[in-house]
Amino acid sequence: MTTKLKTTYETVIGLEIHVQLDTKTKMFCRCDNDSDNAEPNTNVCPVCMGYPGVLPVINNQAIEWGIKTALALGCEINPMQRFDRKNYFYPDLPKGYQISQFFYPVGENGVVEVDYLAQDRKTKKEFKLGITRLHLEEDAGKLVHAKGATLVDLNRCGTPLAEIVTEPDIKSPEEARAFLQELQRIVRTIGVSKADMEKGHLRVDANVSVRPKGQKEFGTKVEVKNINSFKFVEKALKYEVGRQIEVLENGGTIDQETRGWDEKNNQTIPQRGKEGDIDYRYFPEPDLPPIYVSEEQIKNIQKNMEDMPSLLRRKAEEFGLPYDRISELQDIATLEYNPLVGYVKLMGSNPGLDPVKVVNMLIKILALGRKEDAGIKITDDMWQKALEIVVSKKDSFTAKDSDIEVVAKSILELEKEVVERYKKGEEKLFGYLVGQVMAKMKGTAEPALVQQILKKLLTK
Amino acid sequence: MAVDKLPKAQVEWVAKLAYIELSESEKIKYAGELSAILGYVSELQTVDTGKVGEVMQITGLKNVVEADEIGKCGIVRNEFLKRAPQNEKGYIKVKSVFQR
Repeated sequence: MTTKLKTTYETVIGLEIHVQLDTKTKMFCRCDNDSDNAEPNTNVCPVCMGYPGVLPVINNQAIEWGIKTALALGCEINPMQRFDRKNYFYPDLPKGYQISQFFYPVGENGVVEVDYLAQDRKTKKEFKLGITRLHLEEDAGKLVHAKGATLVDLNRCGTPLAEIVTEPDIKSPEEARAFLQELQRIVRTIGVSKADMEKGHLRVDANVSVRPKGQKEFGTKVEVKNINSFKFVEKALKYEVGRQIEVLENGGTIDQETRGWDEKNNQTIPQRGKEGDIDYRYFPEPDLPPIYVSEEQIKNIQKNMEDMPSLLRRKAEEFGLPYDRISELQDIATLEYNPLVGYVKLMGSNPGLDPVKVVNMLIKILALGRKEDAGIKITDDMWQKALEIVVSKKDSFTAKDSDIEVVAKSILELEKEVVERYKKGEEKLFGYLVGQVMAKMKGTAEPALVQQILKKLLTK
Repeated sequence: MAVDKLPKAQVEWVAKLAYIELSESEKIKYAGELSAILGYVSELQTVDTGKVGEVMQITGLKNVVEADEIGKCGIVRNEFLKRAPQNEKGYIKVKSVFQR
């Protein structure tokens, strides 16, 4: 909005996130839980299809991972957990009820401290987020909307889900996105989910409201659904916050409703409401005896817990790596390998190492791999290689910034035609210029520095 | 113990949850039948439970779990698709959820 607002508003956001657990089998039957490449309705059995007279049996791994995830989010673990039936009718739910945990969830009252890189790509921002609860439940089937009909695939029925409900502590769309990305890192780190948003492993609904700054009462909240990528999280929430402020500024009121993100038109649109409150008639699942968790079991899970992403970042900071570089390393993590783990390990066992040089070298090795299309995967070995190069050339990067700048200027003078083409958009010529400077400096210049200086000169 | 007849709105609410359409005469009929069932159940309320602890299950079982290993499914797609009213390309076919 370009016009000046009459009131200053603050945003209040709470999230409900479903995380699919990457167990081998489903939550209550031993059907294959991996249906990414399966034909529809092939990983199903009488239990997950809701045939009468069948008996569900709890997946032990799902219970353990539920506890593990709740602990990773700082929750207190309930010593007694129990499942309940949530009743509603929809074609994706053949039983007519979803087995969930309503009264006694896995964990409650958690806190997550999130730090993230601000949009300026330099500043570190921090906030604290309360976790209301984490409970386990089963996923529903998938609906494919065809012309005049709906097609049902029950492969996903019974996939274990951890539902995480946050407190309304989030104050901006950026924070919402930062938390979701941190959550993705956490569940990947502890190995309980692939957490790919595009594939629906991690799904989020957001409760959004705005209120005049200083007002105690919450504004009317709107539930935003159908957000299936990190990019859309921020976009959708920004749009919704803006929409609500505009309505209020124009003297209107916010309807309590559910809106869906429409990625084609970049807006949230009202979803067909379920008229009135739904009555789920929760009651204890009579087929599943309760789960009692001992102190010892909880301690054991806690003891074997991987280092959290926030701890790795803190350690890397303590080694002297600037926060934006930490974030850079974190962002190139894959499902298989988190470079921050390797970095922290390497720095820990090689005291006195320049915290930035090894990272620069790793990034360089990676870039080379990409150029040669070698399909390079980051591993601990690569860190080792980066270390070796850095150590062997320890004293070889002797060139000072001013030396590099003099050489860079002469190269730019010499390569006028290339510079011209680069400025017209042939960005790949940048690498050529870097190479020319490096050659002239006979390996005494640090590549990252050369790039930095060239960029500076070229944007002048 | 007699129970007041279930209000019409309650019958309509239950019908809505069950996705059942009721005619006016059916609503009156079911109001009577549902009230009789509730009346029967409400007899339980005459029992003095002041000294009985809360019970949420009576089997005494706990921690009944299985290891996370793939087992037999025991059902073939073609077999159960035959039992569905309609199917298409391996999917169960139902009325469009958008046209309810």
